[in-house]
Amino acid sequence: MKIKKTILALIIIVAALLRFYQLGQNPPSLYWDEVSLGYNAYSILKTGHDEHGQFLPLDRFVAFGDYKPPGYIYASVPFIALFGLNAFGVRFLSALAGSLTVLLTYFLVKELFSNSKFKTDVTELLALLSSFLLAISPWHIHMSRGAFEANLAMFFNTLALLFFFKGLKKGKFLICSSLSFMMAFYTFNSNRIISLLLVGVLAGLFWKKIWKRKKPAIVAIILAILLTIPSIKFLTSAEGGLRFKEVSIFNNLMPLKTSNQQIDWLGNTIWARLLFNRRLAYGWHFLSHFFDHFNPRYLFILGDRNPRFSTGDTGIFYVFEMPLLLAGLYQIFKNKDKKLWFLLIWWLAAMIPSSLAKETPHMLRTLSVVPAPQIISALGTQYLYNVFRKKKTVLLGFSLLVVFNLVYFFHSYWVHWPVEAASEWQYGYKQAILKAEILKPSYDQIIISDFYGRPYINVLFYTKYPPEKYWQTRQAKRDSFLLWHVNSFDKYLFGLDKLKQVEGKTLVLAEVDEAPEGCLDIDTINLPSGQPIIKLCEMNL
Amino acid sequence: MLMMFKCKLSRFKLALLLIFLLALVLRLYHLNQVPPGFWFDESSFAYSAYSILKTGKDEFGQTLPVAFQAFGEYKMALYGYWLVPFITIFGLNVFSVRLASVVLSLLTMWGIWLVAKQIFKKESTAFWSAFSFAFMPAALQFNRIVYENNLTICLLVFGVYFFIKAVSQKKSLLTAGIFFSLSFYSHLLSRVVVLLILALLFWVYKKYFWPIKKLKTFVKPFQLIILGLILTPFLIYITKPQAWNRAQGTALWQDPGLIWRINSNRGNYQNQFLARVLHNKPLTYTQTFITNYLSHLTPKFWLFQGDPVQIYNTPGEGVILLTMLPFLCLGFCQLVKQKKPALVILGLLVISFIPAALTRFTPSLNRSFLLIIPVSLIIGLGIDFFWQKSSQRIWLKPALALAILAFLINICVYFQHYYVDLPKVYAYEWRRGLKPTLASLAKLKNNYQQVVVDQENINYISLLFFFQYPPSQVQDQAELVNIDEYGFGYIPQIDKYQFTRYMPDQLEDHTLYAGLCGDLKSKGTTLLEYNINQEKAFCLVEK
Repeated sequence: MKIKKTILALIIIVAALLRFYQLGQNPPSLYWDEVSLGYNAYSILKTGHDEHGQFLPLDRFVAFGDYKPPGYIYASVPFIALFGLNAFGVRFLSALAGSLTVLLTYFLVKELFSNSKFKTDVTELLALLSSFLLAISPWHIHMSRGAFEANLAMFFNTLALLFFFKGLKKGKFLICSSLSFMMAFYTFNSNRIISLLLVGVLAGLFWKKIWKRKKPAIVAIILAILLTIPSIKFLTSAEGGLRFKEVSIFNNLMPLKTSNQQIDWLGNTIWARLLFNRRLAYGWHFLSHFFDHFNPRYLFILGDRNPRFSTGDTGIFYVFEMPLLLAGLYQIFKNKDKKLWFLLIWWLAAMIPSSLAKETPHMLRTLSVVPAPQIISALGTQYLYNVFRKKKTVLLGFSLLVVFNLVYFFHSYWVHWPVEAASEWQYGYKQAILKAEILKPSYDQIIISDFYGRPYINVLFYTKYPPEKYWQTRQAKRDSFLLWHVNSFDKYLFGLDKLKQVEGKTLVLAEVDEAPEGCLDIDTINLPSGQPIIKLCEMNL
Repeated sequence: MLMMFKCKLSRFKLALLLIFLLALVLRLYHLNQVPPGFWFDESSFAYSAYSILKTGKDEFGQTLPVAFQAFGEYKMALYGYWLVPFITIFGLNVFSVRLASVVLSLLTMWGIWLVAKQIFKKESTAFWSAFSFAFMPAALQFNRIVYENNLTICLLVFGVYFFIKAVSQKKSLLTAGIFFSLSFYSHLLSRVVVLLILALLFWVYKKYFWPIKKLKTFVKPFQLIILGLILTPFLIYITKPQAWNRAQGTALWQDPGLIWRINSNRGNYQNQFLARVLHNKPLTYTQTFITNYLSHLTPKFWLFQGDPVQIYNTPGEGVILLTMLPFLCLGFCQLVKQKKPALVILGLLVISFIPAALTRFTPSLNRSFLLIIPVSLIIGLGIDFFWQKSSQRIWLKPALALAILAFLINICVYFQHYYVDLPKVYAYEWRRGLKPTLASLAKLKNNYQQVVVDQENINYISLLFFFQYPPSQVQDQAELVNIDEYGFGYIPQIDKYQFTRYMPDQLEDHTLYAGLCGDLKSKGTTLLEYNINQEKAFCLVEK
């Protein structure tokens, strides 16, 4: 028993190391969503109001007009208080949730397989393997090292499942489970649907056992319903629907057009209208997006298309996990155990919200799938090990593959990626803004180009600008998509078009290529690769 | 009892007959117009076969060659010889040569039925395997065009059948050998695939062939001599450099981009040792091979898009029908439970993507066409399993009804995609309107001293094919020029016809120009215009 605990402790330490080491420096810079989460938490900490001056919003934070769920912001307030307003402070919560999920996975697997055909020591082994696979998972490492709401939501999701399976034995845990599902609901947009779907799946699979724990189950349901109340007004409002409309596949008119054209080609007959009606066309479209998530290039070779989520040469799983996953799936198909089947259904269900969106496959929106694949891989490992136990060459070859995969991923994650992906992470704002802050007293105004987008939040964040002062001086308007555009506050103006509207001694921060003519160089900020990115220069207008 | 058995059997035969008829109808319906036009590779095979028929030589004057030079890629010639009887009977036209493929596809279907019966020992599974072949988009796509992989697959499926049969009936091994040897003459990819299939089969059935003493009981000296005789021309042929032309043109290790990428990656290091260990040719080629291989295992390839090359794909369809996916999965699960035969089918599936993965252009359906065989068998197994389960369990009846309904909807949508959408969407890719344009050209040609034809859009071979140009006249003038980076060239001049990739800016007197309206219309008087699709049209133009 003692050795197992030691191994678990080692796994957690490895997980924490992989998630916390140089958290402030790699990813190389803060992305605007992280900055926004951080500043809103800071604003809540200092004033109890968000960046727009709303008092403790429960349903959503307006932020850029993208309506962020409140979970991550409130939960990171203590860490901002503790570590200050900086990259480490903002990301700490995500890394912590990631490390704790590794621990949760251990308990979840033990709970899942406690009454199954597996013996206790096999269950223990499976639990350790699952948590180890999660600890080194490229997908999870990427997601835990940035301030991603999805990662916190996935922590709550795993917690809720753990509590649910505990609750099947001890009713009161069902209430904790419902509470955790609601936490996930309030933390990430996709989880609003995923929580609902998973509750449906669990109820469908285990209704007999739940029926035996009627009382706590009913309390849990009522609690969940009560907890949705604060968000109902927002979710049913036009603003709440807007973000969904923006990313949804139903916004794409292509299927509608093709189906109309086909009906037209067939002479507008009834059967043509039945066969080629747009619901079928959109259903087909949904399926094609759903299956996008099974592209092996995405799973094992390249990972997400977004360079912020992937080093570009390792998938969301390692190549060596491919046989493990296949063997694990085989195990599931062979057994009639509902809890095993749940792993697969969980995986599929958690991909549904992401498949409704245009950009697929998407690592972030499907994150609540984790740790199901890792558990399935662990099942596969156990099975394959039994098959190949005596074949030393196979085991040796496989170990070499594992080592190679790990070295390859960590090498590119720590050496190549921070350099290559720096501009994707909007590298340079921090350095430029801190310099500008020093120079600020000697200028009438500072104009900052918005080539990376939304520079105002970076200024607020890196100068730790007091929220009250910001509310008083900001000039902002909303566009037709309800997005906020901040034109100026204090001495700062945003967008190079403001050059025409002002007079006096002006400090300009612009991308190197777009710097206006007649601007006297003061300083240049370079990307880690040495390529110049932002120029600070002076103009007298 | 006996009566009942007989009755059941005949019902089965009837169903089988029906499915063959259905497959035939699907393959013959509008064979002339769908796919529209006539692709240059099709003309090339057809014309070479015509030339063989008329003169005993191909259009380049080679007597009974092992491979036709064609556009410079040296197509293996056996398929051309297969076309000869069809051209003899039906003449040189689109229907007759495409019919040759249709006949091969029915033979393949028969072969799949035989293999399924041999492996699963169940008539019903064999029936469903044939059924799934009949409706597979990937199969129909190639079965209706002149393409040599139809022949290869047919030969391979019978090769596999007779090999498995040899386990109980020793003399079949010779038949299998003949089929496998012939397949070397039908397609480049056989050189990779056949060896792998043989290795697979010998390994699966090793207890019959190993130790070597046992193998001797199968093989008699005269058999070896027969196989040797069949293989000799091929073995002589592959010592020539042109036998590897096309392989060189497409192989992944010929991609200059890879070497460039390795060098650029190495540049990032101070430590040259580490650079060499992490970025080198074997590693990069392996990575590329795996990536290529996996690119065939995407849902996009299987269900939604198929081959990205437009003439090898039906808009909106992949390799299999969407509603066949559950049966594919079900069949797969069933297959894994079975021991020996499963390995043959799984092995075939694994092998089928290897030739494609060795090339630069992936995913590729035409190079992984072997997958048709294992996939038909797996889906057949899945349907059969489901069909039987649903007759045993009452609660599966609604699922069966739903599956049938979904299948019917799916099949209707598929027919729409293939027979209606494809000719419209890919009208230009298939060069719709080649035939009427060339027919008009034939009428006008005598008024001009010279005819200039667009090589990219009309092609010399189409002209030869549709004019039924006398091969003996071509043979003296045939020489390929302007070979491009992929190894393709063309014959620049045949009698008064000139062929060019770029239409001249200034038109000349007494000359007729044939090409796209976009290139020609503004330069002279248009004599005829034939619309390919909304944007493009063929034009005949004089100054």
